[in-house]
Amino acid sequence: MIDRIFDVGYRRLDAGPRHRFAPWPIARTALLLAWRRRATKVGLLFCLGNVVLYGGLIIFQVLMQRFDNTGMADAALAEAVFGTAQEVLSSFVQVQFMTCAIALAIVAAGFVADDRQAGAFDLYFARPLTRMDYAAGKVLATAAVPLAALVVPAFGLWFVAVGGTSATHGAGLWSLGPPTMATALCGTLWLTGAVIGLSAMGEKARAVGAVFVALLLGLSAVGEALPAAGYPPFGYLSPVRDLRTVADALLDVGSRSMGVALLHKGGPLNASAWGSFLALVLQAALGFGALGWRLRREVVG
Amino acid sequence: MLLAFQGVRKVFGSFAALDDVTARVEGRAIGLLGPNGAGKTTLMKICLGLLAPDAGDATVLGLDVRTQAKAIRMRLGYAAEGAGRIPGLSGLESVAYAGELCGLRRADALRRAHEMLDLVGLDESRHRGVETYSTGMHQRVKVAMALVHDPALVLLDEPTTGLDPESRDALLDLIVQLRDGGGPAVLLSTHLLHDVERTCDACVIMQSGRVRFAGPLADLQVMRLQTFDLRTRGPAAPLAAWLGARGCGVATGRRDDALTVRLPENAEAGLIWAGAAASGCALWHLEAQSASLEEAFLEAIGPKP
Repeated sequence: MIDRIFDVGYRRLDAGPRHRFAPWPIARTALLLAWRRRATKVGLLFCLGNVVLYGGLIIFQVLMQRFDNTGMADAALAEAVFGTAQEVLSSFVQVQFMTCAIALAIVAAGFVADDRQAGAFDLYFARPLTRMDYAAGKVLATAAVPLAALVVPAFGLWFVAVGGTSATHGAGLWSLGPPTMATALCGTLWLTGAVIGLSAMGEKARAVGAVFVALLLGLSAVGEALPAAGYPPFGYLSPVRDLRTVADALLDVGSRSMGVALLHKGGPLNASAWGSFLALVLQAALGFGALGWRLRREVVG
Repeated sequence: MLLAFQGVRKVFGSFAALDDVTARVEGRAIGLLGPNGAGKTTLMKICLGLLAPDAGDATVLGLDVRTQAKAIRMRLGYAAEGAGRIPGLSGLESVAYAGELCGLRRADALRRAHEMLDLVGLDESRHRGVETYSTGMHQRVKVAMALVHDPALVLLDEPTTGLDPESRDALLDLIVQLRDGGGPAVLLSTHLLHDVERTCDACVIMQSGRVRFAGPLADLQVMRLQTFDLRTRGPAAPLAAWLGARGCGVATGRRDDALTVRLPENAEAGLIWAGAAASGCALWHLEAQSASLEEAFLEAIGPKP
């Protein structure tokens, strides 16, 4: 069959209102392009693996508590081995934070860098978009990854714990919801700000991803080593330590059980949970600032 | 008024890309002509609000580029020179995405994208990734992206660069179709005179950041009609001397009874008749030189400053 085009000429569009939320198509397209890469699926698979693992822990714990009185299970033993709900949730947020960082290095490192490399800024800003529209679209796309892989599963785990446990134990778990969400959101904020800021500074997605992971590991190493050497304020440089401090303070984790300690080795904390929170926000703000600086530098208006 | 510039200046470092650009342009298809580095792309980017002029005023479709850039961009389509693509998207997705960025709903953008790709003649390959496209296919996608939201004016920056003759023909036909078929007005930036001659009814000629001519093509060609070939009965030397003394450019031919005379600005052919009477030369042939656009263009840009 001959491949032919039968066009109907140029048709004028009805002049209707055109006020869509511009960041949405930008975010959706960025995520669509990322999803088409195999590496993205692999990264997200690791995130899913954590959810399944910690989900199993929570379910096991809930079942042990539910059947504690029947003599079929020993909740105290389960708690000693697999930890309290607080420990599991706190550990999940911290482990998933690191896994998400790897996934984001694959998924989001090119969100702005690829546009710069392809010379696509003209393509965006020759249309009725503001810098804020573009930035919001890219931030939305970046934040979608930790929101989907960290915040939503954290909520899910808490929901399972609350819904599945007995009424006696459930009362204590209700109050864990907001702190769990707050901790996960702190992690999301840092991850989003850091990766989008670096993406705005670079031109090659792979290089940006590598720098992002190296930065996370470097800051963590410095933030752990210097306080141990007698310089406690440097602990606030480490996002991992900051998040650990915030999680510990919000969830009141206390002592660690065997099982959770195997999955996630806790470490020393910073002196102030508020200080850690502010350090996370400040580092994220630097990232958002880098994005703003880049757009102001390259785009008028 | 489609485009109006008053004393527009744009400087990059110590280089003045635009220097006192002043022009008022009206028409359905306007050629923006000039050699490479003349400032065409800079002028287009100022129209879009992508660059802010350092001095002067510019209005597009009656809207000020400094204060109403977003409203202007809603009514403009732009096909940039060079890459300007999003790798990973297909041609269809690229065009639909451009529509969505201009405020179309997703379903409408997709339907419109199909229409525009039909219009520019991109067949089933519209479903392939843009990074696999040839230059010609890529140019078509860029034009479709510029048209998808139905702008009032579409800016095409060197759209025929790198095209084979057939694709170039098709693209120029499309511009003519837009011009004559109720589509958006077109501002075609190019350094190819033939493209302008074939598609445009007005042009702006730029060189070294300055506007050398702005107006209908017919006016440009009239400029050339100031040059005449003439023959006299007997030697033409007295007439040549008389005209030369009055500021005319005079070139003698191989024959002593033939002259080529270029009248000074604002002079009319009557000056030659007056010269013939005064010098006693009888004219038996006088003809204005026919002007091609190329000659008119070269004359308009003159020697490089």
